[in-house]
Amino acid sequence: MTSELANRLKELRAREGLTQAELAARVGVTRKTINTVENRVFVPSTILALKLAAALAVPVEEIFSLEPRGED
Amino acid sequence: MEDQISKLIRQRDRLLTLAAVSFLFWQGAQLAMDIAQEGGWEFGPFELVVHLCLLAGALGWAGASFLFLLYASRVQRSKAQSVIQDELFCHNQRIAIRFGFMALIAATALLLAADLLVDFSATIALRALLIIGITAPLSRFLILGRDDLEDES
Repeated sequence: MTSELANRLKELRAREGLTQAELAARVGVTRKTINTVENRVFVPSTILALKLAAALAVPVEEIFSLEPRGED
Repeated sequence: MEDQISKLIRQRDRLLTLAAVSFLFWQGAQLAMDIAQEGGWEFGPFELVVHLCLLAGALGWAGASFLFLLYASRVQRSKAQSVIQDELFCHNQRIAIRFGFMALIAATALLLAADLLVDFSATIALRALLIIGITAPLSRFLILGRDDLEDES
């Protein structure tokens, strides 16, 4: 069974009252990178995932989780 | 800072577009002239258009190269290089290079097949491959960067 990476980045970012641009500035990437991660177009590296978790002050597994792929 | 980064990314994309289009015009016109010369054909009234495309393309390519140098120093001064060339940039760059490589393989196979049907010089084949090798990855990279999904909430 294959899995894909789900995330609650948008929800957690909104909870912190941050815009995509503000979160991007905190972790040192472009707003577009945050946008594509939120929309599950781009899977971030472990380093970026940990930076996002640190910026939102949550454990990384609260942002990212594995879910079974739809067609399986 | 975000405004400055967005501006630099827009400038980069405009420069890449100028470079890709200019190169296509420049080398495309040259390719058309090579084919016409080998086939012994005349462009007739379109000769001026082909020469203008070649000239405009060559000037555009030279201009884009010069502007890239200015752009690179502007990025360095802004200290935004690591943000502009972030993970997504590297990811899109890898996809674009892979796409260019596949396009070159496909074009080479097509040229080999075409060689069985028509005679053409190595110059024509190499120029066609050069056009694809430059424009395919640039175009793919620009298309990847254009996709913006659900925006700010």
